Amino acid sequence: MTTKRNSIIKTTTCYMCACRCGINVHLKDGRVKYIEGNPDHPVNKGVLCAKGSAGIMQHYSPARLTTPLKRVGPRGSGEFEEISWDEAMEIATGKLKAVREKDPKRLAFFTGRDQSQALTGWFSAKFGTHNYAAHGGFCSVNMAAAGLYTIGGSFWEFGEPDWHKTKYFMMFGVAEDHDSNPIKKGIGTIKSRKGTKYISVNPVQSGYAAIADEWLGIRPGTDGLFIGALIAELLKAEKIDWDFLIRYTNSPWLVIDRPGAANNGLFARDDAENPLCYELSVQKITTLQVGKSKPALVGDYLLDDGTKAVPAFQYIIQEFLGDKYTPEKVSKQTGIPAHDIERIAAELAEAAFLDEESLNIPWTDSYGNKHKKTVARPVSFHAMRGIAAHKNGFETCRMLHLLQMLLGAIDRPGSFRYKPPFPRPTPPHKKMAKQSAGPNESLSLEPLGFPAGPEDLAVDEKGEPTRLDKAFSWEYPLAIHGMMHMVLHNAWAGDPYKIDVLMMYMANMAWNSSMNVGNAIKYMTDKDTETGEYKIPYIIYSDAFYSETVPYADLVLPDTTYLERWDAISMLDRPIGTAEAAADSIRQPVIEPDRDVRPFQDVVLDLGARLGLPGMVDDNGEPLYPGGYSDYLTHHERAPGVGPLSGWRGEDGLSQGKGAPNNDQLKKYIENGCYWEFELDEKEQYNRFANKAYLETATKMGWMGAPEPIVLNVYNEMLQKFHLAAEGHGNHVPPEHARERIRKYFNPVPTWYPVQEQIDSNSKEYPLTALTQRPAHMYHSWGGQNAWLRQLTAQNYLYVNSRWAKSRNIDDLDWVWVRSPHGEVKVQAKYMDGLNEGTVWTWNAIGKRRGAWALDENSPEFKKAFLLNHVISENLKTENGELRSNSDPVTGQGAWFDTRVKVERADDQKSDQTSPLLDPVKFYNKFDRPDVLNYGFKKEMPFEQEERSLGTKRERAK
Amino acid sequence: MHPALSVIIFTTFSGMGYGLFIWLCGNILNGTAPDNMSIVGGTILSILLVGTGLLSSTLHLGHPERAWRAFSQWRSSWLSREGVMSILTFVPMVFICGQTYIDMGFQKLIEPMAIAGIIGSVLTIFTTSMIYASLKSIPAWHNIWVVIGYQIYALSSGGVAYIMFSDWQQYLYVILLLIVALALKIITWISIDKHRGKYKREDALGLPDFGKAKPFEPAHSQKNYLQREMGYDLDPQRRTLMRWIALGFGFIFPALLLYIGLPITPVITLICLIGMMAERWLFFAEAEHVVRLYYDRESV
Amino acid sequence: MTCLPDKTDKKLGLLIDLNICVGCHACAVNCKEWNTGGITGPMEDIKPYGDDPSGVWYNRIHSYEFKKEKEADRTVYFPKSCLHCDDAPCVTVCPTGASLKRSEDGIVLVNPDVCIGCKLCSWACPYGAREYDTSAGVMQKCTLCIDKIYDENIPQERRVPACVSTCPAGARHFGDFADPESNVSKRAAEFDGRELFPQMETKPVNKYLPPRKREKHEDRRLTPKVSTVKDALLKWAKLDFTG
Repeated sequence: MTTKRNSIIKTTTCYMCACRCGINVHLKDGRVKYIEGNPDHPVNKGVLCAKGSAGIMQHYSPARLTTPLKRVGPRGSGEFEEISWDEAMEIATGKLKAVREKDPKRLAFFTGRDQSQALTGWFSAKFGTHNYAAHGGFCSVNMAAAGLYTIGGSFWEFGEPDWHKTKYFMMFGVAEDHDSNPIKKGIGTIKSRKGTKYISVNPVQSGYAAIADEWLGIRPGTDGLFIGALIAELLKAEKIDWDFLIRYTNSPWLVIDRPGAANNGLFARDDAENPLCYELSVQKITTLQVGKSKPALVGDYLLDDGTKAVPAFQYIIQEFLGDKYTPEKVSKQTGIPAHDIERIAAELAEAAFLDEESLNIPWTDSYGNKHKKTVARPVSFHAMRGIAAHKNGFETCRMLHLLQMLLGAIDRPGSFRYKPPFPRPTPPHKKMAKQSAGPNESLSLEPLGFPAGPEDLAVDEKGEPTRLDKAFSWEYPLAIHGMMHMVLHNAWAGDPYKIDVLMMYMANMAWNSSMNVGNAIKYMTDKDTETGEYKIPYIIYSDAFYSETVPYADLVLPDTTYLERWDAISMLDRPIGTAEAAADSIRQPVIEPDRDVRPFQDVVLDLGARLGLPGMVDDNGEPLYPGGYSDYLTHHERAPGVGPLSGWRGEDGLSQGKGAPNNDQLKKYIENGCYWEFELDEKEQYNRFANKAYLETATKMGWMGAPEPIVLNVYNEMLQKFHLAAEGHGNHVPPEHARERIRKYFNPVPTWYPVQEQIDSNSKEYPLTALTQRPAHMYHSWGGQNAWLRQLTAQNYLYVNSRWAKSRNIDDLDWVWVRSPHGEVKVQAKYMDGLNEGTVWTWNAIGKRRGAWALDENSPEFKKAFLLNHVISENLKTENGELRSNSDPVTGQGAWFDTRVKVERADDQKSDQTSPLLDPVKFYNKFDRPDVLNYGFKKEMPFEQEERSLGTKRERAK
Repeated sequence: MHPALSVIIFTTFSGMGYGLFIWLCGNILNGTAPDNMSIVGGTILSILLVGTGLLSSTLHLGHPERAWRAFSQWRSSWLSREGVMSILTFVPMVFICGQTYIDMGFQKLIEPMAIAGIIGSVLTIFTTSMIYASLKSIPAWHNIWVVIGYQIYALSSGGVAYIMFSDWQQYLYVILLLIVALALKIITWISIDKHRGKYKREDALGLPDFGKAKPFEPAHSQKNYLQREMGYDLDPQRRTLMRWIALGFGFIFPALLLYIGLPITPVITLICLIGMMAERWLFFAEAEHVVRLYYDRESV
Repeated sequence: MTCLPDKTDKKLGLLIDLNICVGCHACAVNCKEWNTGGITGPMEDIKPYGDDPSGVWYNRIHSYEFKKEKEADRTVYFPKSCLHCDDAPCVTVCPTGASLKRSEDGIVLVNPDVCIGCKLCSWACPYGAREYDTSAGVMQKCTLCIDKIYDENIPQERRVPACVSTCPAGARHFGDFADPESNVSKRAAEFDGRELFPQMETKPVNKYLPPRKREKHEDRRLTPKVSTVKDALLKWAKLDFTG
């Protein structure tokens, strides 16, 4: 298509953040003229955020790398020699080959905001290292893990609120913008109609919280208590979807109640491993038959062998009907008044059971029961990092899902709804490698997966971690996204072992992606006193821009921008479907690179071929994908008929989901706007955990192994298995030092506990919680140097509650010191009223390091803006003096939002700059950096002539 | 408002120029004109002052070479009207100067031209004042004091200049005018100060019923054109200092020096001009644009 | 010609819903990219990689905290661009005729080929809708994407200003305020559409929908049927919940 002004329009997929919107790129005179949302695209339906709209400035950023670089000065100096790709690939191949011959795990491959994890994870497996992950571990893994282990899905790419039918929507936490445009569209939809209430539970009244019908400025880290209080209120009033609990959750399942025994807390099952229940109609224990059984939810029952068993639901009662979650108590800790908690519970109950919202869609469940209509539960929830990035985040997220289950508000009209291929079994049937492969061998399993019990952990015979980041160890058993935030420290400390090569992609680990920047830099620059070698011996880094991390690499492989490459947003990776349809998409190059750079995915495949990795070379050792990533996307099969892309499969291009590779597949995608969408029948759109028709379709499409129903976990038996292991039961027991933690933090029923900082004796000295969020126009992006976006925010302030600040004699815009036990940073404070009184916050990643990003050395980003990371530590000392990662004990999620600080007015108000100011890195810039930028296009006619041609009935006033 | 030197020179120089010319024309009509060479000198100085002022105003433009276009929109634009009037007023100025210097036989026209000169000058000053007084967006300007003031200050400063050419005749009138101008300036400031805060931020936002608004995140973290052009922050101490300079140099010292009768009229004229520039600097610096309500002002 | 038309056939403008705007800046940036390559572009960026980055923007997103007695504080995001006023003072002050208000649709424009850059229009505008471009030496402002809304090659439903088509939350609407049956007129009537700064008597075409008033909550509580674990175990024991 062309516009009147002669632009050519090409479709592709945005990569300015992780949201993956479809875009139309207008090109004129060989340059990008305009980028807009693709109106047909399932993710964004034509809209585009500030990041996406600033793509032009990203694409033409002067901070772009132009050629491979080899370090010649000391690490961090930024002294590089420009080298050819041939040389770069030879160096990289040589390094990796040596590692693989010796011990593949001595390669740690960590990718940041990588959207090709299906490729990079596969490469790691073929290489033989399981030291692989992306950035999820320090982002929002608690949300993902809690969801996948509880309801087989979660928020964002796993599911979304039913924006069109929900009557009551609650959003928790700061930093909720993961699903940037769909969330905005959804909230806009809700706010455009009358009769739907939107509640924001968020310490900060900014962004989405600003337009909520009610804002609850909760104290950070206490969301679980608040949710628990709601649960308690609903339970006490019996405002519970009993039918839902009985049919689709494990509430009625009998749990063995035999304290001290090896099977205590496990489900009682019959010989065929089917769960048992207490059948009220016959007053005895029988096998549960969904739809037919009338099971008890409460009571003590005796199994055949005389063992006591109780319905799982009873444990819920015991947790929530005690005095822990009474509105009065919870009110004190959360700061939310008790009468508000009580009222919101009442409002929730009222909205949830609005039966007139039910749909006349008949459906059949997996147990053979036919349902005349699809019952609605129009209450929905959304949360992301705000509740996840705490050391109690996993439990808080689980509790939110429990609340949904109690209300029956899962995949019902008006409630949270899954996006295919979710729901998946809890957890998904994908095991990960427990240890790395031997020399020159590959892994049979991928590095990341879902442990289903202690036996699946990546630990050695002593129970110690086999992974560098200690993910899947007894310390962080469910670290399903890995723990990238621990990689630098552990590689430096040689704990649990040393590595030879660290390869990273798109992750600014020397700056805002690391807690405690000073340490991160030390880890990369420290040398072994004996050998004089760097403790992390070799660092390969790929990025498109000269970020703060580039100067620390030994070899820099310059990546393309997102407009210059192929990519797949694959169902094998992090899919982009909607509640109504499955979808995947591609990126196509819409413009040629003007410098000597290569897409990292091409480089990975090339490296694989040079190393002769299985799957990347044929029997003769020739590359299997000589055409690079696009070749791989078309022809690679993960399992027979299953490839990176689901659309237009089969030789004739008529198959979907599964089918042989199709040479014209990418062409078909391009013709269709670079995405594929598979719409589900109305009957397959609800109750998908037990929807027979849906599960059959899902199996046919390759999303599920078999059309088995997914039982939702109000009671998580797997967590109890860990608990039992910590008590010494079974063949896989944690080493002594990990036992107490596992015993404490692995509980079958979600519970709230205060994090270390909240009970710490220091909590009085450090009374404030310090939060960060990214502005919507920079969320999940690396656009700080973007010429347009930095005009919006080139400087950040520490927002302080006005009342609190006044009481401390801190004036608006005063310089203050923010101090934590780990560090201090000098910042400018700014008043805010809509802020929890015990909280301060700032925009993250506005502060940059001098020399980086091709910005002038006097830029506000360097002198006035700051990183809060300086006061956040990746390690914490526990009460008994042990050093532990500042992470959730279950999932290893980086606990950014547990940071406690004190804030004091600085004595020096005159210097007008932040502290610490790190020494500059060497400036790198290969492009024009004009003093005045005029990004425009040649005019085809004088203004007046053109203006008169626009519109009709042109007639000027005389 | 940002006090741009080009615009300060424009209004003060041309004001003095027209004022001087009015004095000359008035005395011609009154039959009390000084000698011919003084008339020539006076008109030349008027032309120079007005010309410098107009040229200076074009320095403010992004496209000075297109300045001729500014004469076209006299039906709606005070700036355009000012341009037209200033050009028209050059006719009597040049005529009187030329005819007086070399009698070209049009002596009969001198008086009609003097009448035209007075009307033209008064109208030009009026149009200049209306450029500012017509702007509702700047409450400190949008009032009658600006219109009166521009006329009076032109006459008073022009009167001081006129002394140079008139051998001190009518200097008492000039002193009187300076006192009137001084009083007017003080009244104007009192009036501006009194009316400050008429418009509220909540009005600008169209949300007067939502309580008190204060800025949270600015639109852009660094200053933009609007803030640079219209967000001038006048330091109160500086304001006081500049007010005294304006009153002292613009009115009090000239009046005193004239009263004492020191024979340094060019110096007195220069002092007066400096005073007028200080007055005009304040005219801009003190004027707050309502756009600031969207930025850093609760009220304007 | 800088006299205002007596009447315009249409009054094209924007309806901005403050009840929905989350302050994401999408409209501002999308505006920037369309218009820098558009009919009045480029829109300069001064020191884009320097110590004090700024530039010409047709649309800027402010935000405010409102405080009212006995009510919770609230944050309001506030996008602001040219309001295409009926009585546009920026047009009448223009000495050159560069500023104009189109009689057919009411769009206010600056002809960059004629503008002398005297900045008077920016002084006259109470809203800060006009900006000076130092490179071009002329004034710049929102064109309501005139080169987008009249481009027949663009599908009809996308022929709206860039800020409207891109707004993720759907907080911006485009239409003809002269037509009482238009989407914007009806919405403005239904949801209390407001003028900015009516005291300035500029008769802005663009309207703003105010944030919806937060309702007063009436305390209420679910009636507890059980209140302790013991209660629940007693009452719910052997209760058939399937009925």
